[in-house]
Amino acid sequence: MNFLPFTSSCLVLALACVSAAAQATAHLAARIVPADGAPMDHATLIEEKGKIVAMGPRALIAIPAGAKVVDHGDHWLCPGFVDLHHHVSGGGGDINDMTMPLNAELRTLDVVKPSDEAIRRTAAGGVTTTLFIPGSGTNIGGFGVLLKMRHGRSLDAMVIRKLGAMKVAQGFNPERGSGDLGLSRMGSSDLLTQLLQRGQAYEKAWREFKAGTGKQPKFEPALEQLRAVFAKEVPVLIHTAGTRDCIATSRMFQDVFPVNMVLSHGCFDGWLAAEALAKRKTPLNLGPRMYEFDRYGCVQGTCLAYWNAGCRDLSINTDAPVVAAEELQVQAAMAIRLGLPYEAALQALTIVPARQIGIGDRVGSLAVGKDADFQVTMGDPLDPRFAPLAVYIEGTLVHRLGDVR
Amino acid sequence: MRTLYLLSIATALLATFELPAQGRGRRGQRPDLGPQPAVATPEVKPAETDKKPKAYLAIVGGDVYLGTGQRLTGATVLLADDKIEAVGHNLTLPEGTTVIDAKGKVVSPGFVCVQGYGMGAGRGAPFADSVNPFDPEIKQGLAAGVTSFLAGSASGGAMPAGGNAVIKLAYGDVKGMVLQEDSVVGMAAPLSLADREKFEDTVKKVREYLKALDEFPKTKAADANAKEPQPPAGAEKLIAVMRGQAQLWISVTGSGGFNPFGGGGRRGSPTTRTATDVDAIRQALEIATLIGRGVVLQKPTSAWLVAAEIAATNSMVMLSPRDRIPADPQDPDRTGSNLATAAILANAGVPVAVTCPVGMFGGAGVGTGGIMGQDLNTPHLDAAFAVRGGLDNRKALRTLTLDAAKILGVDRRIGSLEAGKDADVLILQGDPLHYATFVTTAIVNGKVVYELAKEPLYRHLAR
Repeated sequence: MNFLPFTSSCLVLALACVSAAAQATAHLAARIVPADGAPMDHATLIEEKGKIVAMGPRALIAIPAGAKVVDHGDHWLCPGFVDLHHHVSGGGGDINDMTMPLNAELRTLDVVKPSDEAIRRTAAGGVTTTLFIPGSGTNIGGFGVLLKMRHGRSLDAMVIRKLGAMKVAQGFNPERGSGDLGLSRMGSSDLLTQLLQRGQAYEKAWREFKAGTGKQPKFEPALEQLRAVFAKEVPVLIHTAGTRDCIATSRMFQDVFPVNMVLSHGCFDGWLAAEALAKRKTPLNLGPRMYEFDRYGCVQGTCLAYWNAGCRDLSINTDAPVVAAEELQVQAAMAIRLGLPYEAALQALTIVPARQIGIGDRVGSLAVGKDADFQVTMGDPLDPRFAPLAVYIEGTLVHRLGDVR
Repeated sequence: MRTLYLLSIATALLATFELPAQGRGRRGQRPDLGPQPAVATPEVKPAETDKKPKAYLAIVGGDVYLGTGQRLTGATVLLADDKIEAVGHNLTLPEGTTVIDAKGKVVSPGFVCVQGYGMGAGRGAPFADSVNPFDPEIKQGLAAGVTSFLAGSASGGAMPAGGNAVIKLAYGDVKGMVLQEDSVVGMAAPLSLADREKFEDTVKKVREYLKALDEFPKTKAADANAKEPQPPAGAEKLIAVMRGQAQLWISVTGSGGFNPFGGGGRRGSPTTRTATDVDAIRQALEIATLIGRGVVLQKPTSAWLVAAEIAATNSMVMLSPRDRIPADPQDPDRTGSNLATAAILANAGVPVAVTCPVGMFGGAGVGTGGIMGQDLNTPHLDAAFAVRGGLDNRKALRTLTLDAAKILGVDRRIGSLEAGKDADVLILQGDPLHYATFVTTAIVNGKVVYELAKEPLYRHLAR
């Protein structure tokens, strides 16, 4: 395996960390796949207080005195997967509030059900972080919440960021009747633009007020959450499919409005816009549909088309429940089958989506200082024939093979 | 009434004569559709001079998965015309045999999909008249390893019904596309009390009819005026089942719905599945006992709970290991699906065939309709999920080959690489169930109908 951005920081920091720690756990494995670096054989990962404090070849890593040792034998450790397009942590109840077309004031935080079976199942597929977003029924669906797939009773134990991303649905789905969007795509684009302009002005006014250079703006609840978007604290994730909408999304959220964005889906003939998106370095979150026919009868892998055009900021989703949440691995396997390089597919489930959503420093790869979110696998973490044997979130075992049928 | 009776005799008589001029209608010139009710056809022996020499094709040196669960390393598969002549090591190849080198590759029976649509299958009976042997979807199916599938309906209510055919992906060969019509009939369980009584009554009548038919030659010899027994009305499909000419598929419906979007909307969406169907399965097994033949359970959720009972009736199961139905929280140990179902059933001796999962958007059968667009491209991944659930990798191939052919009632023709069976063979790059393995060559009825390097589908992927 030939990883592009090889990092060896894990080795360096590893040696420094030998202080006795009662809560430390040493995980021994036949191979550790960091996802953003070269795999290490016969390796050790030391976890303490939910973080990775040391990692490297077994010979170089001293196990702290009093540490618990978990020997995973012949098995591998891989980072927990990250799915940025996930709809199934709500425990029932609709996530398409179809009364108004623009719902920037809504958020899925209010409907998370920590005890929901879907969360356990997601973890069973090795997925440890998800962005639980509203549906695409309305033009702005609301804000999704960024979660760790820690099944249980406490919402606080799950939430990474309350406002994970703002969900926008560009075209098609919101035209099915989510209020008055005008009679054409021009109408919906106009309404969306107007709201974003108001949000942008609102954020600017508050920023200036806080800096003492402007007077206090009038409080507007409908625009409050948009402040986080224009302060670039929270990205926008835009449901986008087809060439026309891919271009429209890139233009609107990269050129017109200076926000952090992720273009999600990119399906159907969206790949025809791949070169344009590659030039703009558009962050892509591809799926659930993994192929399209080109006009010459070739099965065009969606991921491969973007990859070949030079798009490197590329992650893969399930759009669960469209594809089952635990089949994120299958999505990557399909992408590889249809030509995406293996390393790119592995990173598309791990470090790339973590960076896209702004938590690349916490999750998405195995490295010292990061959250100890990992799965224990029998081998290739992308082979659907093997479910993860165990899944850990911040050092805590959250799933073992057989826990869910 | 008497007129009708005479008319039917006249029709029957007409049908026994060869009338080429009239053979162009909807029901004309149908190919051999497998075993028909015992009608002795005179064996026509072609003159020696007409006999074309057999065309031999040998696939040499590959790792041969027989489809039965076994594998021969570095073996040869010898085909003669449209049949398999021999499989083994050190075969003597007849003179003039075309040889395909499969060294380093895997050879397997063509995949058999128990549910499908498109792929040239045509609109309905008679399928032989509406298949399209040049449908581009055929190539796509072949690229995924599919060489046969069931098209049409295999669903019924309180009595067996359906209209379907096992279609072969014999690209370009209209006569080679229909393997058999109506080898499958379907009904639904559970039955209401009244329907069940009626069904039991019909089974009894069919049994009496078949017995009388069996004894008819004797009866006729004793009494020249004896009338031929008449089948009970509306029981044709059941008769086919009880004669062993068709497999009876039973769709089972249970209780305890589940919807991944929850109760807030989208009620009645296709993802609403049942948490338990044990009662329906047991009733289906009672039907098996009643008719004296194993049945096929269609996508049962709870089969893993009653594997021994299913095995005891010689019944079989088709399922998607990727269909995951959560347990009812009130009764978690006895409800919901189990990833291990295929493994549990196979270990109990129950033949299992895999099919695609029930998707949010399509996915009722193997075809290009689902939003994922993957159903047609991933039969091997459905089997991969059986491996995920604990089924041995080699045995799991049976879920796409021999066991699937049994479930379609055509295992005497397809499903394994055994002498005498149809020459439907795949050459693959490696392990058939690995996600990145491609079919390099597909052979149907002895003809090469798909080559990876020559078709546009995946040619752009340098491998």
